[in-house]
This record gives sequence, structure tokens and C-alpha cells, in this order.
Amino acid sequence: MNPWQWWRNRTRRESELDEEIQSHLRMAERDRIDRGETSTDARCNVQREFGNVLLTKEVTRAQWGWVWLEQFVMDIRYVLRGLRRSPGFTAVAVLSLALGIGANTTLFSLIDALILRSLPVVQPGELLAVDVQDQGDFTNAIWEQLRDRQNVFLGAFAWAHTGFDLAAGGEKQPVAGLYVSGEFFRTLGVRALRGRVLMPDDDRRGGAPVAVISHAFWERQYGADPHIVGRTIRIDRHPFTIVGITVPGFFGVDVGSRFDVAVPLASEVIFDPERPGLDQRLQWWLSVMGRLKPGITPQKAGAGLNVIAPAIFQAASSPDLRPEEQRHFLRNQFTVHPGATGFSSLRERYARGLVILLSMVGVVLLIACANLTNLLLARADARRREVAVRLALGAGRARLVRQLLTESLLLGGLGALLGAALAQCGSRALIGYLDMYLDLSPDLRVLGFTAALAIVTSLIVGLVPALQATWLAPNGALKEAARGLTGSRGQWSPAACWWPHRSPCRCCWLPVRVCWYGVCIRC
Amino acid sequence: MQTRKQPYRDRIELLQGTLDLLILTTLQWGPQHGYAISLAIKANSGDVLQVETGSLYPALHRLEKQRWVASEWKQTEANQRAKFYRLTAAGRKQLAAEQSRWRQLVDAMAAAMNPAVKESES
Repeated sequence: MNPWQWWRNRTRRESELDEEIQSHLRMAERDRIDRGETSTDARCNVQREFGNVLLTKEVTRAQWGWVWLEQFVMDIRYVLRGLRRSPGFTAVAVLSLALGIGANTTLFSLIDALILRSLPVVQPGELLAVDVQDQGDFTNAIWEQLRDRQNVFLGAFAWAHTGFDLAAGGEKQPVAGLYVSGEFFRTLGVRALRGRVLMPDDDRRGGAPVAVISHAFWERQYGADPHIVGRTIRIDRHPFTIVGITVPGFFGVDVGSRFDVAVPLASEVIFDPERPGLDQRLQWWLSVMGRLKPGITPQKAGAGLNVIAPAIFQAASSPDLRPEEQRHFLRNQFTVHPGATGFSSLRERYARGLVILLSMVGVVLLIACANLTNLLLARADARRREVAVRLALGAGRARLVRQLLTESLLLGGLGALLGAALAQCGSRALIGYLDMYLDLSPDLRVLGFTAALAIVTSLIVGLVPALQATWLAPNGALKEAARGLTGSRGQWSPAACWWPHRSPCRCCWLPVRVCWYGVCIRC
Repeated sequence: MQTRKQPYRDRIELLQGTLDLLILTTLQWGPQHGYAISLAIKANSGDVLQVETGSLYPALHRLEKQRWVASEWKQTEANQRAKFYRLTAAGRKQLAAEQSRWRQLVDAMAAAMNPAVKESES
């Protein structure tokens, strides 16, 4: 039986159990009356014989299974009632956790988007980025040689970012442009939402001038006009026909930037017919990636490329080079690295800073935890009488600890929800401030991070107060409570070993804070 | 303190094996409700075995969860509504298995407690 069915049948089972026991009592009573007892005696005797009805029910219920779920739901209800009674405490606790968790989630989602996330393309793990060892970027001649001679990739492609002016006249209208080689979309496996993507046939000098626009740009610039395909736009005053719109979510392969309009590499000639960059043998402007053939490892691919490297550089050499530069040029090699997470210059620039920041906000969260633990300790103090009564009535200590932990888990959960919302705004604000484009839609990794953070914080925050609150002999605590001594903290508290006094605990964080501020300033 | 160290549940667990066997045995003669089962066990054991209701109902529900018994609501002869338990096919199999195990245990105990008898027999 699954938990949901069980939950729906719960009330029915409950009333059936009640009826079953009542019928037992009735039958036993009738038998006794038949044997000549008075009805009052009979009822008393039957009840004595039966014993504790509530306890019998509880033990019977335990046989049904899912007791923990029922108790969990009961705990949640109990905790919610308690929290509603002290809204001030709840607000402070949830807010401080939300700030701590929110700050951590913000930074983690940036790290995730910039460093960890794979490109939104087909099988990103097969992509391999290629660099020229000395330069990084490619000249068009080297790229064309590599494209025609390589035998390790199913498909290889080159691209370059640029700026276009889309105005037909008058004021400039700058957009993010992208030159792509013919295999770009096909190798990445990026399809068109409408129309078609650019194909190898488009990437010919003298071919018809065509362009593809991104989904985001289509919505932003053209209000998602369904008839945009086939329309002619002016790019730097030259007419281009829009042949398609790419699928939503595709921003190119440079993490941190995006493209609005993509045109074939060959159409670069149109913009600069006098000195086309395509023919400049010393203009390093292209980035290159390839999709590995099945069974070829990145190491093999690198080695394979370097076997043909001398021939490639020989063919792509320029007469403008001085002899020693020429020798150097010909000795060039290719380096490869995994391309699954795309390219990013931002990555190198921000990665270290982000990790340092993340550990800093981690410390902020720890401070929030420490403060919240103090709050909960105070609350546990106020609750000692209640706990003592329940222990005296036979509640198990583990059960009470679980209930108190449910409280901190619920606080942690609420904090995480609010924190996740804060993080959404926070990370957007942050990338707006840093002026980069990142796909920040929360993915499983970020959600998992937030959830783990919430659970760990809840346990850190809740465990000590919960243990302390239940660490007492019911007798002593009841007497103490009855004498009105709850205000003074007794010597029995084992929690004393953890938190000697409240204020020193906060003080010992101070050096930590100072250290981090130091780190801050140095960065 | 004593009650906390020996909670109610423990007493049930001590009885569990035997109580299950007693219930299944009682049910092999036809469907019965909880009260009748407790009376029958008491009577059949010559008033020696007292089944506590605090153990009986958990045991019945446990047996039902294991599908050794099934239950339905019916009227008694005295026209009372009661929950009747009956043995299922799986329950019969379980009863046979438990009975033979119980006999083994009894024989073994007897032999262990009275080795002289066995030697004189042989």
C-alpha cells in the first residue's frame, strides 16, 4: 500500500478500530450482566480487565505501518501551532535563515551557470574545444585547413562574436552578432524553432546573405512575430534574409554572453569587401570546437590533430611573417580541452572570486546558525516544564527530540523557500551588475544544493537545543518547575559544555568575521 | 522507572510467537471476533492462558497485514455488530508450519529436561 492510499484510509481504519474495541467491551459487559453482575460493576470490571484502551489502540496502530509518517504529520501540525503562537521568533528565525541560505544559493547558482552547467545542446560531453597553442584563437586560414584535413571529429565548427548595427538608417541599433561556420548548428545539434538553421551551403562566399536569430531576440525585438521568417533585415546597412529562429534556451557556446543574430562566416566579406578578415592570415579571431567521433578519446583527438599540425600551419603560413616568426609559426601545435560546459573568458576571470565569495557567505550562514541556536536554546529553556510533564507522562526521549528537530527542519524549510526566492532576484541583480548573460533558471543541482543546505542547517541549529531540552529527569524538572525556578539554569545541563555562555559564543565568531573582512579587502 | 525500562510493547513481543499460533489455531474452527477468540483461548487452555487484549488486537492486525487472516463486519448471534476474522489459505499454511515447529520445540524441551526417560526407553 502506498503512503497516499494509507493516508486516505486512515480515518476509516481509525473508526473501525474504535468500533472493534467498543464491540469487545459491549460483549464482555453483556456476558458479565448475564452472569448476574450489576451493570455498574460489569462496566468497571470489563474496563479493568481490558486495561488501557488508548495504549491498546496505539500499539495496534503501530502494526499498520507508516507510524513515522503519521507522527511526522502530527509533529508538523504541532510545530505550526507553536510557531503561530510566537510570530516574532518565527519571523526572525526564518528571515535570518533565508538570508543565509539565499546568499549561498545566489552564489552557487552563479557558479553552477558559469562553471558546472553543460551547454544546452545535444550530447555536450562529446564536444571538444581546440586552441592554437600560442594564440588560443584561430585565423581563418588555419581553421579552413583544420576543417578540411581533420579526421577525429564528426563535425567541427568555428565561430566569432561581433557587434552588428541593425538600424536601417538614422540612430544605431547595436545587437550581439555571431559569425558561424556552416557546420555550427548541425554539429551542436541545435534545431530551428521556425524556418531552418544555417547549413554548410550558406557558408560560401558569394552565397545569398542569410541570417538566423535567437529565440530571445525574436521575442524581444519582434514580439515573437510568427511571420518573421523570410523577412529582410539590414545588418550594417547590408540586406540579409532571416531564414530561421533557434530553439529557446540556446545562447551560443560562450557561457556568459549570448547572440542575437547569427550569419555565416563567409558573409564577413560583405561587410569588409576591401580587406576581408577571412583572408587576413594574421588575424586571430575564430574559436573552434568539434564533436568527437565515437570511440575517440580527447587525448587521441589531440594527438591526431598534432600529427597534421605541421602541414596545416605550412599551408596557412603568411608571407608577411619575418623568418624567425615563420619558424615559430610552423612549430605551432593544437591543444584540446573538454567543451561540454562551453567556452568562457568570464570563467577564468570570476571563478576564483566566486568560490571565495561562496565560502564567505558560508561563514555568514554559520553565524546565522549560531544566533538561531541561541534563540532555540532560550525557547527550549522556556519549554522545560512542558517537556518535563510529557516525559513524566511516558513520552520517549527520542520521540521528543524528533519533535523538536521537526521544528528546526520546518524553520529550515521555510528559510530555504524564502532564500531560494531571494536567490532568484539576487543572482539576476548580480549578473545585471556584472553585465553578463547567464542562464539562471534553477536546475536540479541548484535545488539539491539549497535542499541540502536547509537540512544541514536545520540539524546544526536544532540538535543541541533539542538534546538539551530533553536531557532531564522528569521528577527533578517537575519539582523545579513547580518551585518556579525555571529562570535559573541548573548545573545539570550538559549543554553547558557546548555553549558555556551565550555572549562568549557570539564573541568567538568575531575573529572569524574580522578574518573574512580581511580576505574581502585583499580581493 | 520500571515501566519505562520495560515498555508495554516488550510484553507483546515476548508472547508474539505463541499468541499468533494460538489465534491461528482458534480460527481454524471458523471465523470469530476478537472477544470470542480471547474466551476460546482461555477456555481451551483450561483457564491457564490469559490473553491480554492489549496484545490480542495488535496481533490480529499484524496477522491481517501479513494476510494470514482476513476480516469482515458481521452480526453476532446476540445481534451485535463485530469484526470477524477468518483464516486465509496462506494462514492455514502458516498454522501448519508453526504447529510443527512448536511440536519440535516441545519435544526438544522435554528431552532436554528429562534425559533419563529417553535413555531408559532405548
